[in-house]
Amino acid sequence: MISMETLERVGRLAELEIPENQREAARQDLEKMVTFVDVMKELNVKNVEPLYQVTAERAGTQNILRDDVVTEGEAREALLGNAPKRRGEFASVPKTFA
Amino acid sequence: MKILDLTAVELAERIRRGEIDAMESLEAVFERISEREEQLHCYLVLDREGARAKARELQKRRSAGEGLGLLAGVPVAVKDNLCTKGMRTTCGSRMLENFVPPYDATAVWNLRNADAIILGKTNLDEFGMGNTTESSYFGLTRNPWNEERSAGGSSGGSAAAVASGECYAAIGTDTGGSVRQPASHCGVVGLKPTYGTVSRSGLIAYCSSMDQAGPVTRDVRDSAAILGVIAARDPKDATSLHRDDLSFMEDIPQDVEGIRIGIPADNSGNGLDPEIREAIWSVAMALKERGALLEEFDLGITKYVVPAYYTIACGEASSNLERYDGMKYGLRVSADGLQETYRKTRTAGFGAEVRRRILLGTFALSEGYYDEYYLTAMKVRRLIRDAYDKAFLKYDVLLGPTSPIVAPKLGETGMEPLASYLADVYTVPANLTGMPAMSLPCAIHSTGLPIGVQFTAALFQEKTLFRVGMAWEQAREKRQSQKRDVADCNSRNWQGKTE
Amino acid sequence: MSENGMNEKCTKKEYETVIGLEVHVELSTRTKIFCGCAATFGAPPNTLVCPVCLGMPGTLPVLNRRVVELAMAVGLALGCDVTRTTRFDRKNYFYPDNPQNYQISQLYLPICRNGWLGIGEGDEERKIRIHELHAEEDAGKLTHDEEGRETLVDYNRAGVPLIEIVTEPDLKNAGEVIAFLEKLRMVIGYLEASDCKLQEGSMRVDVNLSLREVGSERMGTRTEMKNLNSFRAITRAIDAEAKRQKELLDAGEGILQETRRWDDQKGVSYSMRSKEDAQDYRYFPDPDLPPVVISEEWIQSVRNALPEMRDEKKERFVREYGIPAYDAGVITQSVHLARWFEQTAALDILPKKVSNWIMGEGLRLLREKEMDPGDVRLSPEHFAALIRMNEEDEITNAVAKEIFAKAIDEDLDPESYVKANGLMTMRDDFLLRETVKKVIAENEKSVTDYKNGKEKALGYLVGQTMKAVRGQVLPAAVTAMLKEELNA
Repeated sequence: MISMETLERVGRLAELEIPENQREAARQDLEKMVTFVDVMKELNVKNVEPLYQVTAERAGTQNILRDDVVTEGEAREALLGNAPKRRGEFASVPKTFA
Repeated sequence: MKILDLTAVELAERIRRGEIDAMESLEAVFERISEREEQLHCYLVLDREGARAKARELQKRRSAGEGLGLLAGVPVAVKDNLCTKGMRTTCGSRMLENFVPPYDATAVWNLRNADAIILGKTNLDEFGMGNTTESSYFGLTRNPWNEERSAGGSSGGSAAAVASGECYAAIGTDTGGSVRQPASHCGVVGLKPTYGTVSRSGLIAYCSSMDQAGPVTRDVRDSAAILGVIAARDPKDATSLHRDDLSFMEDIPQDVEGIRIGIPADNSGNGLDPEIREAIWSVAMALKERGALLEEFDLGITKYVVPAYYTIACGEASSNLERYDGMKYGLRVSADGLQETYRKTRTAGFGAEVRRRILLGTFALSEGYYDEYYLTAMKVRRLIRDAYDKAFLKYDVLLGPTSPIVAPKLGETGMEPLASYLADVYTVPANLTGMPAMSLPCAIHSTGLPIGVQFTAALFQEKTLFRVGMAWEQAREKRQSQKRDVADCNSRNWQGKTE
Repeated sequence: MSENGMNEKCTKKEYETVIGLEVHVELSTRTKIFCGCAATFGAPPNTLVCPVCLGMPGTLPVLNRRVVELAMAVGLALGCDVTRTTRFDRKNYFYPDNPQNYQISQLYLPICRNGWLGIGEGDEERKIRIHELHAEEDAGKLTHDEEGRETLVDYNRAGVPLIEIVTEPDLKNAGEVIAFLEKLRMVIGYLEASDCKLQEGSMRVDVNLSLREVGSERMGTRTEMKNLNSFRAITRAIDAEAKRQKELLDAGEGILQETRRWDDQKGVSYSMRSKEDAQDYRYFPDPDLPPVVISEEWIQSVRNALPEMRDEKKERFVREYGIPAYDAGVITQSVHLARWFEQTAALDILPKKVSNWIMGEGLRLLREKEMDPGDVRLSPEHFAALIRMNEEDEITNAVAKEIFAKAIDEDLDPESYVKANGLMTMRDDFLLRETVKKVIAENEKSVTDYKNGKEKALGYLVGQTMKAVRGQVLPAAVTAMLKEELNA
């Protein structure tokens, strides 16, 4: 039900490596999980609105907005202090293509 | 009374009044830690010096006549997925092995402000994903009641630390039961507040629409006190609520006269241990004796709660964990080029369970499958909430087991992940719906392990949880020596008459 | 005809170009869209950052109210419907300029929909339909290190608010596209929502282009073009792509749906490396941001707060200031130009004089100095004084123009400047006569030419005299004096 192609595509999207010798096991794992959640299809949800936020409506927390006022921007050291690689004021990452 | 036997509230009172020196209780905790920590492994980070410095500072302020905060001098442990400024925060993962946040989670900041002493960071399942605390990159945590057994998860470290006296109270996080279930396995009290009550700013996200930090404590009163401290509307979290009903300690009635308790029928073969079922009914009977009205009923949707939970949680998690890529912080595995770096870093940085859930979540969100899986799960979520809304028209609180099993043997789970997922069946509804729920100890299993009872209330009704919880605590004290009455488990209607 | 319907020798098919645009505009708010960092351009790298816009663990976005209001304002000015419940969604893709590896954008419920913008005038006006307008966050800036194997990231821009305006494929050629963009830029400029500078990146344009057989309902395969950093590049890219696609279709080949990068130096586009599944962004509603519910009252208040737009202002200028419609049209092309005019004309000066200066010397200098009308520094008071001094012949035209050119980008007080530099119009007949005599003496040939009937030679002599007096004598006086001396 979950093809190897699907597994590989999902792995690529998630930027995870699945070594050759683990692929079948990973595919089976994914298939088992998908089969497990498939039981939801028994329910008729055609006219049901999805519930993305559990308390927003009920607590009136819609329109939580911020004023357009500058707050301190102090994180340069925080960023660069934690960055695996840096070059002066920049974070350095492996070369990208445009 | 031995100093370690005090509750957090009792300790804070005495410290505020000057009857106890904050250093005294702190050293008692350190002594307990030196006795048991090596076996239990509750902590990933212990900050003895920082804790002592805070205790000294509190004593100084007290001597100067200053009033101290609500949790004055209480040694508290914090689960290691809540950011602590200047203190390593790893989420139990190799990915963040050396990550030191320059900011506190708002919940942590609130604890500090109330003069609690942050002892350190407790062990957890990696990124909060799991229910046995065996998937931590830094080793597992053992149950203080039986060291061959799991402490539950994902807040296993927090629960084990409270249960063993390695702290007076702890904060955990609950996405699918991760505060309540370890509390149940370790014989302590665990609360998941209404979603949005405690700010998620600084809580390293697993499932954003369900994550909530909550207290793990020795009793209900401590739970209420700590909730009052960590709950507040936070402008840094757009999903956090303003609540003006957070002073829980004062006006909580001590009785359950007329409280309507609904007991969801256990009809879906969840593998519920018969001793646990018995223990739950015993609680029900005790409350009935004190004037509560009981009724069993059918929720009708129990079969779908775990699938909906995993689809949504893994979906959101797969997106929340995309930021761990070796570029800005955390682990980076050097490789040839950008994409290789992403892949090698993430594959090396995340453990097997995390990778498994990321794959499921990515699948559930992907083109061609989104409607069938993630969107469907969100719709099923509404149906589940509707079922609970309907129940709360008739009942004030729901009662049931926290877990179908007691603490499992270490090393048994993890082989078949799906099996362990099913054990979440009683806890995930509160996460899916946002409702508050609490687990309390109710009995000891024949294996010598604790059994937990779970109360669930409607949105914003923590007060009802505290009320019922305290009533049970009083009843339990009385019943300590009484045998359980098996015949009582057959009562089914309001009048307590057998059908 | 050969079997697949394509042919080599028979009539080539007629195609028409079909163009749709995706325009990204950086909003001029003080802070970023989801955090309180300043959103200014040009700061030192990684100084306008915080844990939120760096995507650090545990951080959460909170929406900037001003972004919602500006997005609504632009939408309303473009005749859009405002979506009453609008939401943000995550667009997931891995790239180092994107700290969370997802961009918070809007897919399912964009804030505005179904508007239009007219290009052309009167009967020739065409309505270009706007499909939707939504808000989203910008990414950081990558600097590619040529020799090294690393790329440097500056996160200052990460989280700066953008609105994206998506048109229907209603545009037909490069000329229409430029007209559309200029009009869009004007509207947004009037709202002061952005300075829309292509070169600075505060406006970015992606062009979607396909060819459709004339008379057919069926759309061709379209390509997307990026890296269009000037109007010139846009025009060249459109023409080149239409040509490229036509050549492929004529040769019987298909068009590949892809994204192409325009290289303006070389005048060609290149296919951007694309993987088969690169397009799966897995959009889902961002759980950290509750929906924004926009009430009728809020829409009304934004509508009421909309400034006077171009057409209104143009008509008002004609009415209130009595300047011709043509002048009003030119001046109101930019809200800054219009403001400059109005603030000056409000002082005790003839509006037509002001508009003449702006349309003449003003526009010329702005073009020459590559300045935007918003960058003009000459204050209305000083501008009015300058014009007045010129009108009253206190300073000559030449001197006035010289001062204007200096003051336009760094304000100065013309009265004190003129005094300090001795630039007043000379009225000393004696000195003038001496100067004229000198010029005549030094330019025998021109004098001879003039005396032989060549009027042009007089102009030359006037020029030479003007030079000698540094322009500080009224040309009429110079001409009169020259004639007098020449005819003497």
